[in-house]
Order: sequence, then C-alpha cells, then structure tokens
Amino acid sequence: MTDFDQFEQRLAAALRSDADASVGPFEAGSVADAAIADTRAGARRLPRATTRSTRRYGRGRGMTLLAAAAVLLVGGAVAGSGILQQPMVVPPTPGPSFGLVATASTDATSPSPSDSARPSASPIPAAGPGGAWIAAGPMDTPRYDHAVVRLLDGRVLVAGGTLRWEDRRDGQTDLTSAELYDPDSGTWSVTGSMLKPGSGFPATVLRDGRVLVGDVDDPNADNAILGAELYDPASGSWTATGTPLWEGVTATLLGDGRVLVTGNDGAELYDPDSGIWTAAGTMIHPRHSHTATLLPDGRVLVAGGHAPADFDTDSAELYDPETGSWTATANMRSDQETNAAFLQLDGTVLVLGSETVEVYDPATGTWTTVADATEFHYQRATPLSDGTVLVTGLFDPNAESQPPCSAAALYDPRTAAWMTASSMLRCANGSSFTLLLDGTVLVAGGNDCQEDACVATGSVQVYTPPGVSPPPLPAFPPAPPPVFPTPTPVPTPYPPADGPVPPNARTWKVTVDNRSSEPVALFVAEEDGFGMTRPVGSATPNVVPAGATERVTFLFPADSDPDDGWIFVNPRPGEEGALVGAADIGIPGKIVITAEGQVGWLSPPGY
Amino acid sequence: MAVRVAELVHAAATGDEAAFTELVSRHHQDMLRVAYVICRDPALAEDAAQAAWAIAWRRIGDVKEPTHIRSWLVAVAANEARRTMRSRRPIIHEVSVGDIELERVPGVRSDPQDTSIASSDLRRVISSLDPTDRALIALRYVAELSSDEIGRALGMSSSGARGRLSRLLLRLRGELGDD
Repeated sequence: MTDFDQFEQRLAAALRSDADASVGPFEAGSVADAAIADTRAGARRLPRATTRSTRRYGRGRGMTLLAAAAVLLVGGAVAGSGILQQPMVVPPTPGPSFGLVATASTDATSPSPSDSARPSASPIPAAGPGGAWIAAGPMDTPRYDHAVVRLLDGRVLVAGGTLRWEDRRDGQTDLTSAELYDPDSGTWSVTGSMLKPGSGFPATVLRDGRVLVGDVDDPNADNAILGAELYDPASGSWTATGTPLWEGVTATLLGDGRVLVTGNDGAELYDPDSGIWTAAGTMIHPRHSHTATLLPDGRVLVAGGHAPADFDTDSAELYDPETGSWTATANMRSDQETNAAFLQLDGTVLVLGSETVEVYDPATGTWTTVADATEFHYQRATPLSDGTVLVTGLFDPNAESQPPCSAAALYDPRTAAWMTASSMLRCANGSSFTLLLDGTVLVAGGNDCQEDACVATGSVQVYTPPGVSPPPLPAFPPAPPPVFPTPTPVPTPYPPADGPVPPNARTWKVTVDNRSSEPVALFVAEEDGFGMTRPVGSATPNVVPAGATERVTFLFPADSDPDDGWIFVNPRPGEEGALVGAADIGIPGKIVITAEGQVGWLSPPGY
Repeated sequence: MAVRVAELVHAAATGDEAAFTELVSRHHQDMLRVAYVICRDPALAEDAAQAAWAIAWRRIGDVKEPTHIRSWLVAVAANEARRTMRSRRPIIHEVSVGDIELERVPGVRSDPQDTSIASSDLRRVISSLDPTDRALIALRYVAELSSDEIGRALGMSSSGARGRLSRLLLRLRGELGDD
C-alpha cells in the first residue's frame, strides 16, 4: 500500500469499516458446504480451461436466422475506446467465399465502388476460416484511444489520442496530431493537427466529407472545457465549430445531415450548416456504455448501457429527428452493457451485449434473444462486410488464466454461432478498428503497459476476414518495442540531507518507529497527487535505521497549510514512498513503519 | 505462508473440503467487503460472495498461481456482485436521522483534527457510482489489487483501469471534502 496517499488510506479504512459494520459474521464451514452443495446440485457448471477451446464459441442455439448481412455501424459505443466509426452500408455478398467486397452507396457517407482504388481482384489466396492478420506500415506518431474514421475516399483518419500515461506527476500525454492511412500502399502520411487534444465524443463523417470530432482544452482536468472541430480532407486543416453542451458517448449522423450526440447528460444536436449545438429533446434515460443506431426510417435507437448512478439498464428509446422527441420502446431482454449495435439489411438491429445477442425489429418494436454472448466478455466488436462481427479483447472475469490478449472471435448472425478467429499479431489495447472498403479491418495503434506506465505503439495490423483476399501490401518490419519512461528520481538525495530550513519554521517533534528491515528516509515536501514534488522543510535526523526508533524534529514552513504539508516516508531509495499528513500535528501518536513496510500514524486509543 | 496457500489450493482443487473451508475462512471477509461496496446491501453482498464460492469450488483447478488465490477470489466476488446488480432495480440508500445530523459540508471538516470519512458521506458518494466504478473502488481500496489485476478482473486494460481510477479518485476527493 506504499503508493496510497493519506486520502486513499482514509478511503480504504472507511470502506472497510462501513462494510464490516454492515455485513454480519459468517461461519466458514456453512459457506463452504453451501458452495459444494450448489455444485453437487447441478448448478451451472463452467468449463475447465482444458476444454474451453472446444466449448468457447459453440453456444449458438435455436435462433432467428438473419438475412445476410449488410451492416451499419452507428453509435459505435465500442467499449473502452470512445471512438465512433462512421455509418456505412455494405451490401451482402452471396456465397461462402466472396473475395473482395463491392460497396454501394446509400448516402453520402458510403462511398461508391468507384471511389475505391482497390483492384477488383487479387491473385493472393483468400484467407482461411479464421481469417488472417498482416502488418501494415506503422503510424507516424504512436497513439492509443484516438479518434478514427474512414473518409469517403476510403482513407482512414486518426487524430489525437494518448502518447503515454504515467502514474506519476506528469500523468497523461495527449496528442493533437493527426495522420491519414492509405489502404493502397499501407502507409501513413501526416495531416494537419487538431486545435486541441482529447475527444469529447466520437468522430463522425458528415455528408460533405468533413469530419466532426470533439475536443477538450485539458483532458486531464476535472473541469475541462469541451469543444468541437471539423477536419476538411481537402485542405487537411481543422477549424473550431461551436461548443457542445456536454460530453457524449455516441455520435450518429442523421438523415438530414445533423449529428445526434448522446451520453450521460442527455442528447444534443450539431447542425453542420450553422455550426450550432442545441439540446435534442429530453432523453428518457440518459446513459453511457450504450449504443445508438440509425434506423432506415430515420429514427435513432438508443439501447442498453448504464444510466448515471444506476445499474445496467435494459431500457431502449427512440429519437425522432422529425419531432425532436424521445419515446420509449420495448426493453431489451437483458440488462447489460451494449458493446456494439449494427443495422442489418433486413432493417433489424443486431446488438451484441455483455450477456446476450439480441435483435430489435423496428417494425414491431420488439426484441428477440438470438444467442448468448460469447463465453468470454469482450472489449471490441467490429462489423465485417458480410455481416459477421469480429470480436477482440476477450477475457473471462471468473478465471485467473485468461485467453491471450491477442485472441479474437467471430460471430456469424446467419447461424448465430461463435467461432475462433486467427489471433492478432499483437494485442490491441487502445487500438482503433476500422472496416476498409476492401472488406479488411485496419487495427491501428494501441498501448503496452507496465504497472505504473502505459506507452503507445505505432504498430498497425490488418485483418482479412475468411474468404477475402489480403491486400497486396509490401512486407513491413515489426514495430519497435515500446520504450518505457525512466522513473523520475526522487528529488531529495538519499542517503541523508536534512532538507531546507524554512524561515520562522514551525517545529514538530515526533517519534518514528521503524519496525521494518530497511532504513527509512524522511522528507518534508509538497506533493501534487502523484508524488513528492519538492522538499520544503527539514527532518532531523532524516534517516531512521532498520528496527530503530528515533525522535525526529520536523520543520515546516511557517505559512504552510497543515493540509498541504506532508512528511514523506521513503522506505527504499528511489521509490515514491508513503505519506503522513502534517495535519496530524497536535494529535498524540507516532509514525510507525511496520515489518511489511507499511506506513501509518498510530494514535493511542480515543484519538 | 505461500507454500501453505499453494497446498491449500491444490488440496481444494482435488476435492479436499477441509482445505476449501480453510480458504473460505481466510478470504470470505474480503470477498464480503468487496461485494458490499458494489451491492450496497448486506444480503445481496452475502449472496454474491456465496455465489463466488460456488464458482471457486468448481474452478479452483484452473488457478495457475495458487499464491494469487486471494486476488482471484475477490475478483470473482466482484463480478458476481456486478452480475447481481444487473438483475436488480436501483436501491435508494436509506438515510437515518443520525446520518443527516452528521452530514458534513464537503470541503469543511467539522473537527479539524478529524480526518476520517463520515460513513454517511461515504455511503452517499459510493451509492452514486455505477457498479463498475464501485467494483474499481472496491478492488483497489478494499482488496488492494494492482491495476493489472483489476483490469483482468473487470475486462479493461490496465491503463483503462488506472485512468478510470484516477478520475474516480479525483471525484471522490471532491465529493468527500478532500479538496
């Protein structure tokens, strides 16, 4: 617990105390007997790891066969990414093997086949049953959790995102840069940078081909100011466009060219003609982790997710742009996070939730459960051209041994069956997934994490679904391994230096009882929520040997607020150490470092 | 201690009910605490923890690192608690007259020497979180799992868990008067 500061220690203590005061005592034998009896009674059994591979995806059961299989991804509440892919319609491809996918345009957001420079045929053999992954050219700037969208000409725009994150004072490094992917060459080119970083809502292609992206002035700030920007592919430049009312989770291009943004705070509309944001009626249940899907009749279906300060919701509602009003429709059959929703050619909506796969029929306003969710939860679902859905980021919340993070699966709505897909070349945490015009999927960026830092990668991979020919890209070298930042050294030297003696210092003498097997260094310093910033006072002596008890004199600046003055206890050189708040001054007690190295303030009973 | 834990886990995996009971006695309290933070209801928390033990009995043979049994168990309890909450309607947290009288104005400590967090404040703030955020808080501050372990338990990346925890902590600091 050495990286807990004092507030976190108090929070932990309060949570434990509240829980202990609320739940009653237990008898271990009874709990164990009940658990064992539950199993013997034939309660639901989960497969052992050794058999999981054969049972993993074969859970489809009697379900509605869906007409193949155009897919419209709208709302794009893709878990964990905050990224929206543009609406796109891709017609079904007959037969089990369909080679390159032809595309048709039903609106300006869906390019016609002639827009694509892809060849109409390829000599490269089609991918096998699980599909295939190949490397594409690396991005110019490594990034993760970035905005992504496919432009009308088939190129892919990525913008913003995060370069790295450190659990220390410099926190997160956010990007404004943007670049374009050319599917023909598999390479990237830099384009104009966003005006501000961040993403207040997912990126959306407007009918005129420009891209609407949300931004914030300081993504790390609690009171960040939201904004919006437009990217013009013709000029490669960004311009500010109005002020969103609040942050959104989904962004949906409506039939009239406006954009509907929904989220925790409600719904709002962006009018590209005026650049003005206005409230879009009153959502019945503002929410997050939900989906928003444009229906063929122009209405928008919002389903599932979490209501604020609430639990998973099964509610669904419809927004009518004609009237600007929301009306409730039938509830989903399960309360669940709705990871992805896709409009199918028959006009129904396929929703892949955390518990079930359901289909909404706008004609009847009803839901039908067509399959269980994959036995593994997943983080990302991407529609393929034939209606199949690529699912990645698989995990089993109830298993210690997890599938590899590169594992992937496919859901086929025609058979309502799950199957194993070929594993990715690398894990895709924080990556963007974009269906390209040739039917392949571009997976760009992502991150690698250690305990206290995450670093973006610029690596890019392309998934070729079963039956599709891989793009004829040159061989690209693997992306270089991530370079993790060197930990910032503790600014006060170790071994001892007493630290500065502030003028008119306040003096505090206290016993430090070091029961650990390591010497303890003491600093009077300011902190910024991530660690010690600079010494502002002194401690004499400022080292307490292992197993020793010392009477230590601390000198604090005279004008320091007790809540701002901190004593750092640094059990090991080079580590951040623990904190003892100077607010404890005046309370009887002592600083104790336990044998395990935990640091605390020990007061006598009654304090 | 580590060897003993490994022996217990191995024995339980081979059907030793006494070893399983010993694991219950060691870890049930932590699992109850985590489940309570998520469910905010003692009976639901007990149900979730009990369901977690049923899973544990069936799947303990899957545990590759027996010394990590505690983090695995509390993660299972957290997910059972979240599953329990999915099937329920919202619960309005009861507030007693005593709680109201003790309610503090955020940012102002009634007793400058009292740095503890009032139970009424804590319940109000935790109840306002969704179950996933409660699970994050519980796994971090009650079970003391690492971000990697939390990410695995809740199906998010380590960075995602860290970032969401950081934002949650900022929010809790503000709402619990620690600004």
